[in-house]
Amino acid sequence: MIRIAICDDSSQMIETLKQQVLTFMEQEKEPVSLQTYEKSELLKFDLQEGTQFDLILSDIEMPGVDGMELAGIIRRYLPEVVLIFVTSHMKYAVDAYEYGVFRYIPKNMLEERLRQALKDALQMIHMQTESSYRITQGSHMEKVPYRRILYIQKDGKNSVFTLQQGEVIRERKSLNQVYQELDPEEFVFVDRGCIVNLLHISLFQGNEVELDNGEKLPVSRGRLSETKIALQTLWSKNI
Amino acid sequence: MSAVIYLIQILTDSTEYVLYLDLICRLYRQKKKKQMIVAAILCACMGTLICRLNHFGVMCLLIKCMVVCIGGWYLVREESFGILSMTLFASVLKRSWKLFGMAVLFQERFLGMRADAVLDSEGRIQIGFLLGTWAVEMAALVLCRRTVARMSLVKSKMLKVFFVAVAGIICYEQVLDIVWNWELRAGLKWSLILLAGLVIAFFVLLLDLDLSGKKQRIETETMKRELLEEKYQSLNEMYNRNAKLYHDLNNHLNTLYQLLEENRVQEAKGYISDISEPIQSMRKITWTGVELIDVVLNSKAQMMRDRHLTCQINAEFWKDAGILETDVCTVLSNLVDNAIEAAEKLPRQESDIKITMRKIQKFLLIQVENPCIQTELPERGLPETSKKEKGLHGWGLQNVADVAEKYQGTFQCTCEKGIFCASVMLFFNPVKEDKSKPWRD
Repeated sequence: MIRIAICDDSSQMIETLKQQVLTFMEQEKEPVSLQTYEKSELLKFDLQEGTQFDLILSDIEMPGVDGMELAGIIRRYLPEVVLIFVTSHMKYAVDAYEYGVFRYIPKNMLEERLRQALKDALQMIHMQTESSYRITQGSHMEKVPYRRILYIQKDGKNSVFTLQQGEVIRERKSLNQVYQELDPEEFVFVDRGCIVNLLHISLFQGNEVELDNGEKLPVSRGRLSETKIALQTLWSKNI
Repeated sequence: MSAVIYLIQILTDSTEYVLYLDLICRLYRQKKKKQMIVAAILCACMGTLICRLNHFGVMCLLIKCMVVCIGGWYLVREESFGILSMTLFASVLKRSWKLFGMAVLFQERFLGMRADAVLDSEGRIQIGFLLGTWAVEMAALVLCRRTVARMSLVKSKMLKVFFVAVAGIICYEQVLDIVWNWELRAGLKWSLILLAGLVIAFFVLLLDLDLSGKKQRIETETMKRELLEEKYQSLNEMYNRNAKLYHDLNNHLNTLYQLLEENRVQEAKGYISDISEPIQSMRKITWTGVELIDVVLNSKAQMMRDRHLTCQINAEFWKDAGILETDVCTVLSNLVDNAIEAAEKLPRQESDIKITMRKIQKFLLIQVENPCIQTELPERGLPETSKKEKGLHGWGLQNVADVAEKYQGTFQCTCEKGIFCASVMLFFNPVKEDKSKPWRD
């Protein structure tokens, strides 16, 4: 089930977007729950109250809370969401990536562009959502979805999982054992004592890798190009 | 006294190592001042401890070279063979120069002493001798500095350098014997010949290395010019078609008016679709919103349409990513040209040429896919081979690889299930000052 929000101050635009999105998702046989907002404040409140979405389509120029402010809020509450801006001002489009906007679509090219954008977005949402890692916590097992894992570090004989939103879990297994159980295409050793989820790598700077939560980890010299190749291979298959 | 001599030797040696390491850094175009001095002092201590005072023999030369190589490798971390051959060559050249100086000094007119006597004599003569030869050496190294920065490193050339250096070392040993045994005339003559030979070899090799660098530059320039010309031509063509259309506009309108007047609606429709065909072909699509990239994409799309190749384009680009538009164009036009060339060779097109340029996190992934015959590209699939010069045909892909390197990225080619895929990953170069600024205003 994909949870979608559409936000635009013109009800006509909302209707157009809704139609196109629903048609596309139907073709892709993707079950959908869709929520529309004519007032961006309402979306803001819903986000603050913890409503979950996978995909948000929004206008930029709106009265009250505008698209850019919304982008900031979305980044804070739903860092993983795929955000697509539909705008008549393309000047924003090529200007900024900082807010993690997935794509800008000019309103006059909705027909041509929306399909491709939705297709790419769907691909993005589906990455790593199926797989998960099992951790034994005391007497019960816990399933940690791959997507939530940022990196895993060695701590003596244990492995420490750092998850999204700063959560930390300790597993009584060596790092190598953990790695064997993970999918080698999606995780990589960046250092002898650290495995990183390739999906969360955002940038390489010198001998450091930056994750999408802003954290930086050192990469050992020998593994630098190997890590880059793995990253490229993973994404190259998924775009 | 011997302590003083040791101290002097460590000092002179460290300056020498500093110069050597500086040469290596220059050769690999890296700047590391602090690390260099530390490495040089360590090298000097190590070198002096191992070779003691007998610093004329071939063994000592080789040991010093090894020490410099280790230091140099620690500094630049590049392929060690280049470092080894360059150091060997530089030291044998420097030694020959020094040997020649010694041969002059030993003449009766100057010192008139045997070599071992000079080294055995404690005190001023020895210090003077050490400092004198050292100054001569330094002069040679300083002279090399400028020329070294111009060299480009190619492996096959390095092999030549290596062989010349080894030959030089063998000759050096022979001449050393002559000078050491106080054969005054012969020593002078042979050391001069050796020196002259090596200097000539140096310039010949330099010319060779320099030329290959120049050749590459010329090729790049030519490619750029061709690209520009191609762009100009496609623009010109667009303009011409446009002008023609405009010129005929009156005629077209008249004809249409006539057709409609006579109520021949179907024919009028046909006429419109006829005249709109040229408009169709010169249609300009905004792919990314960045003009230069859009022009390239459109002209390539046009090129493919002209050759009856089908294509799919999915492109986006972000201006503040710190990636130069021209670099993206270099990558795109080279890869797409190759794709077109490959697809044309096939008897019929099995699948579309796919051009994808996507932003993911903080990097750009540019990917061009085209159908190909599996056997056409054997071992190219390995990322290692696609990086090396051999695996790339022509300069086009070399330029793509250069762009990838510029953005700390990677360039990979794969061939699977009849689809050849060239993929380039470029990392963003975030501009720091803009980070705090809200980008709305």
